[in-house]
Amino acid sequence: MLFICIFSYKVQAQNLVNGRVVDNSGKGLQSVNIYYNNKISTSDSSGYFKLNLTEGKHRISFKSIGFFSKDSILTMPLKEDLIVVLQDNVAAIEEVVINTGYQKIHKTRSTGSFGIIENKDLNLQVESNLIHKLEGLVSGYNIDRKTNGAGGYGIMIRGLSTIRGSRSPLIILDNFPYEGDISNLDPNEVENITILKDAAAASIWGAKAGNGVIVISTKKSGFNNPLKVNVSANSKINQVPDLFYKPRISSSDMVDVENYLFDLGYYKSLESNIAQTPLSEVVETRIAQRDGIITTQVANAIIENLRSFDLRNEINDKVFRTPISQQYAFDISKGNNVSNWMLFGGFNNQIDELNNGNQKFNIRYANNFKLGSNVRIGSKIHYTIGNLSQGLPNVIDLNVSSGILPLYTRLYDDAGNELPVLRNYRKKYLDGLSNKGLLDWNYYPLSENNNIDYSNKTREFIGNLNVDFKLSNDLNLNASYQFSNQVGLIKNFYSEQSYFTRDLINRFTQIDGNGLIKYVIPKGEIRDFSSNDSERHNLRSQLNFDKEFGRHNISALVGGEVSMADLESTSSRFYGINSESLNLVNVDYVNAYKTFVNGSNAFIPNGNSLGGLNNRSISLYFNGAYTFNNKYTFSVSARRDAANTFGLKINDKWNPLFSSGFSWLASNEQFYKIDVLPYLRFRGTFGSSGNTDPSMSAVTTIIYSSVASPYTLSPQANFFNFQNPQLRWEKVYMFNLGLDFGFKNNVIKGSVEYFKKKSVDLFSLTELDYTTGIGNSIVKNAGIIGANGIDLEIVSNNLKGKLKWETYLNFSLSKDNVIKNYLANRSGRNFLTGNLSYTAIEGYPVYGLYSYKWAGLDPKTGNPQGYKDGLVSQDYAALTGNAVTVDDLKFHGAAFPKLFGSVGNNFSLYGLSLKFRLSYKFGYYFRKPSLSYTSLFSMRDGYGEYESRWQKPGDELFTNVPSNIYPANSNRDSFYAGSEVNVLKGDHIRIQYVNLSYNFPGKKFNQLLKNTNVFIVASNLGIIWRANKYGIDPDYKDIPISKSFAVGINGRF
Amino acid sequence: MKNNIKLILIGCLLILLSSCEKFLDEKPNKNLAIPSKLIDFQALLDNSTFLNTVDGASSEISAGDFYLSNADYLGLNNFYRNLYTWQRKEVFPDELNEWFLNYRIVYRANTVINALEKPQNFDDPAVAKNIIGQAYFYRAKAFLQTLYVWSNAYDKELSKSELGIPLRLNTDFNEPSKRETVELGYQQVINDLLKSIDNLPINNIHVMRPSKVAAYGLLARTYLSMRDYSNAKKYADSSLSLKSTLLDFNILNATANFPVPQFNPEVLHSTVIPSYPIINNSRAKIDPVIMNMFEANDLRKSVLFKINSDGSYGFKGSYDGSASLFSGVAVNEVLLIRAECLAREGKLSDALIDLNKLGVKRFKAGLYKNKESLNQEQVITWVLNERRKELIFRGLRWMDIKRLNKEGAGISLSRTVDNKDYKLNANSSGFALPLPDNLLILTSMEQNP
Repeated sequence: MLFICIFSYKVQAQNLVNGRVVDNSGKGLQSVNIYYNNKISTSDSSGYFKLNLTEGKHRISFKSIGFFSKDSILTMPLKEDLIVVLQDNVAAIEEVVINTGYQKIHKTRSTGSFGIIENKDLNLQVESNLIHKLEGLVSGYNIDRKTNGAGGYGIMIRGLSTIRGSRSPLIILDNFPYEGDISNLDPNEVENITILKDAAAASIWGAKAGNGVIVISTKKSGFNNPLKVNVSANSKINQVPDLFYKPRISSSDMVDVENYLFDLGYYKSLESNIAQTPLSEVVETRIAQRDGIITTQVANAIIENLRSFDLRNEINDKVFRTPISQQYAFDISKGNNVSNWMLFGGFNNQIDELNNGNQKFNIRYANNFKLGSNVRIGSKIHYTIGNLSQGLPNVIDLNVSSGILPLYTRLYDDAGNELPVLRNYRKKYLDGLSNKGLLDWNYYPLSENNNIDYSNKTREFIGNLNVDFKLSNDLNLNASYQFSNQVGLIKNFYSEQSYFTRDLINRFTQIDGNGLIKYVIPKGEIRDFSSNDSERHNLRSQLNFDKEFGRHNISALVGGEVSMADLESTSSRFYGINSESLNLVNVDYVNAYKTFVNGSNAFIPNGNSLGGLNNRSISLYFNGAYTFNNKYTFSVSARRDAANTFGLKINDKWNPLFSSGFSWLASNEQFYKIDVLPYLRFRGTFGSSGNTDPSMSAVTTIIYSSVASPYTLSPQANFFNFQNPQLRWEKVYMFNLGLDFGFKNNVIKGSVEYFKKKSVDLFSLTELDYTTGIGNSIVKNAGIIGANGIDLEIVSNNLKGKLKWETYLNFSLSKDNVIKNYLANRSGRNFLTGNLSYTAIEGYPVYGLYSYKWAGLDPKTGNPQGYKDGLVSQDYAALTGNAVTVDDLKFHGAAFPKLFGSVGNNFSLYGLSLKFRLSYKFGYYFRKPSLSYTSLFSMRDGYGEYESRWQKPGDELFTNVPSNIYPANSNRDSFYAGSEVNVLKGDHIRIQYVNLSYNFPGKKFNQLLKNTNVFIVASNLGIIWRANKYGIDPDYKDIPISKSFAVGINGRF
Repeated sequence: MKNNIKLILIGCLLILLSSCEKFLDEKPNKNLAIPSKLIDFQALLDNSTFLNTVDGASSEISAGDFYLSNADYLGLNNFYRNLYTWQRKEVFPDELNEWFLNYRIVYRANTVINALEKPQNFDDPAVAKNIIGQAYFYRAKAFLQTLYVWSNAYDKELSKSELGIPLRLNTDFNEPSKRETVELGYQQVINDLLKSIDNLPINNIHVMRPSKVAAYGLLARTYLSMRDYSNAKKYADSSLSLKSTLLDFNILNATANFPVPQFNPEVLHSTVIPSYPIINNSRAKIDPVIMNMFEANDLRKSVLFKINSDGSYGFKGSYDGSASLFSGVAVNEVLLIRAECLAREGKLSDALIDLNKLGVKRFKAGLYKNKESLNQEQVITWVLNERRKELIFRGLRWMDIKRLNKEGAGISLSRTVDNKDYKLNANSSGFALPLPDNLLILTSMEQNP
């Protein structure tokens, strides 16, 4: 009653104030919060507002994001309309719009966790692959180039969400999932990339979003946009890969090892092996010497001569060329008030050190137009042409049927003629075949590619239609459809001169008792074709609701989506082709023939196969957000997915997921008085997303081989999945708390976030009694892992004025931990598989580094020693046996960095700017490669530490490399390989890029050139500090990516 | 206007949802199927990679028909070395070991047997019978090979209590494995083979598929190893009455790498032991005792063996025509089974007819002298010696030693390698190989002593 009285009294005494809020330029500002007398009002879309105020003095505050708030004292009544000018506060976060692929939301109203990378940041590096450019540019984003589970691109967003499921995030290109090869996309056509990190951000993508979502938006034209033209061109050279990076046993040491093994009779059984497996030059020479074919003197001379060769030098000198690549791109855009369009074209050309070529051409045309005031139609066509060509083989890793090539292998003789190298058969055997009517059976690696015509073409088409109906002011209906078609065609033409063809023809040559020759595989070219053709349809319709009434804002969307993907693949092979007339010869796939070398039966390889995949899914989703007073936002989302996976009833196929979140813009509160920090926002979300594996099935399925049984000529099949009725989709729950802040004058702005996630129902391999006949493990939804971490992103403007200096800091802390995972087999040796596969021991990281405890080398023999029951032991069978469990192993730490990020610095003075970024990774371990005598003897594969092996008492003080013993003991080798001396810290800091650019100020130079920028960039400059002393780059399994240098120009007209 | 749109939307949604089921029923991969049709089951049994080429080598390695040089022995991995020297630990690797390969066949057979238990329910009962007959054959063979390796030889009394092998008869992997008695194991093999004989056609379209004639032969082998000579003879007879063609070694090219052709007329069902490094003829050298058993005009010495540079012999006479060792069922084995049974029954002349029938095909044309004797022991010895020569490297010797020791043959094995002597005494428990080590962790099964 009292309230009503006061209220009515006030009403009587009120005066109406008409006012307008404008910025410096006089433009009206919308949605400015106006605080007065414990009430709040907002300005309309043109900045106008009306207030009812009693007579007398009033304190009124105006607050809006991006502007300094302003307090005024008004004395009522006013004589004229009130104009309030708010000063720009550049410090405040720019009005960033986040694209989730389903909707665009203002960052200030979102509750979830997003990372955004703009085109200008992407362009700092010249790299054809977008995915690798992102590393270091955004927090919580890491690339794993090493483990077997890395999958497609090895991207990891906020650590792991799964043990053995797919780790790949979902990639969205212009609102639809992109399932092609992301390297087809030209980085120049990307406008920005949004990374959806938490469950609320990603939940809209449902069952595929468990690993995070990457949303890529291409450049678009706006309406009312004058003609704009951008052109860019750059050229890059790379250093050739460093073949000496991986230490290998030297030629001279290899010669000694082979001599030693020869004397012990190691090669005896290989000599009489009817498969005629190749023996190295040293061994063949020793055999010839033993058999009296050459004198000891000659033999020694040949062998001694080999010691000085090094295959790596020869490859560097005669095989490698400088890798080079060029990128050219342009875009043209224009828009009037009813329509707009953009045309993009890009060309990318790369040639690597082995002369492998990769060319890509991209063209895209997009336009939008308005039909009346309520309908807007957009369309897009995108076409990619990709061509790969083949260069020389990588000789250093050439797979010879008895191992790898020894380093003393020569590719050319002294006169410069190409020499044959080891491949499938002994030289002595091949030499003895000369007059038998066979084709030359030697393998010449460097001329092989002259005889093979390889081409790999990709053609990708994406067409996209989007219709937007405005049903009312608050409601609009959006329907979009995308069709994409990817066609790949690989051709491999092996001419009769190619080793591939000669080898096949020879293997199947039949010579009867009278010396009559029959070529079961006809002479002539062999041609392989393989093609795949995939068609995808996506249809989505969505109802969007957005209404602002008073201080309330509701925005919601509900929609449904259907997708369908069909993939057909075909492979075929033709024999005996005459490449001039294109006639071919049919071969007999039905009967087995005696093969030439060992006389065993074989069928002519049949290269024909067909395949077809068909993935379908249906989804329904809802997302709603309510914002009060522009300060408090609450969001919910829900989604159900279904797919045509095998063996699930329709009801089980539907998998509901939900999420909710809130945010609070504290700096918009009236009581908020911290002027140095004009922007402060808190937000939090909780929700779930899923991770599907379409290959998992709950019923027994069989898979047909592409080829029928050659014996019964009937189809043959194998088991693909075993009945496993309890299988479900994996689920990821994530909780995220965030704080966004901006200091006055933009000195420092950024965000800090804490996340905690729990992944449940994870596919986990459970050890199984293999008497069941289905293998020694089975997949169950038994695993649970937890992870938590902190993401921090800070931009600081250290210097303003003529010399500008900005620093970008990304810092991510991420830790995962296995909560539940059943390990039926706890044998320690199963957990030492390098840093390549998961260990998933409860209480430890999913990927952990473990080792055998090391007791040094035996000072008398150089044998490695470990501990068995607390005592020093050399019983390798016991040290590596089943009785040693995971509990006996030493745990070092995780295989993925616990702490990583980057620091970037941008300096600019007039038009000149220097930008560089360091990235760092800390808190992880890796296992270094080590010497195995077993592989050294049987495969010639010896790690370079052979030269520092224990050789005499006393050496144990300087080395951990065990002595050479014969016969090699594989347990001894695996004990040493798995011991703690080979586990090293991965911590390192590297320079990611240094970019120096100059912007020509358009006005001074040329009216036409609005903005021209030239730059030089150096990338992958390598590690500047590392914790290990072996010079190993812990992020690469093999040779790390080499340094590159690029120059380029961008112009805008 | 608004209401109309709402109606259209709801309509669309309903259509969408009702067609969901059909839309989602599409197979995700055209090459995949849920096995339900006869063609699916036949396809599972025609996959020779999993059925015909995975027989175990452990019995051949343990049996003592070959030896290794020191260098070759030392160059092999420890599992082979341990198997070769009759060790009791680390004899089998943890993965893809012989035990698993056998039980993988059992699972495949069970999938078919469980689904086709009532062949009459299928469109084409004759085809269904053929398929289930093949499955019974494979299950029986897998069980039999497992029994040969991991159990003591059959013994009327002892087998009722001695530990045999797990008899998994369905595909439920939650059922724990349990070792049944040896007696039950052999009963299962016999029952399966009888069912397969009931269902299989006399000959199948290829010897990669089991047939009735092969099933008879395998049943004869089973009874022979049980020392039930009358049943062994009965089924050997049944097999031979359907097929008894022998290959004349005179027509073979002894200089070839592998002179005996694959799928030759003697082969009833073709399976092989892959050419593992230890049994490859570049390493495995034939025991001279065997080589000395061959008479001068016996073609087998040159057809089945190659001479190494050091004068030792290697085996090249696989009925697979390759380095893989033939371990299937063939006429020559069935014939020798019948000959042995006849000899043991005292029907010496009948036994000698069989023996001579084989001999004449193995000797240089016209140079074979028919064997004649009235001495039963002599004839049995002849047959047993013939088995050693004719059936060498077939994976059969191990079981022969075990069953003959039950007859009192007292065959002990010994080896010297790397300056150490190893011995396996007749009738010792070492003739039942130890179960793979990790199996004892994964299950509660008992290890062999």
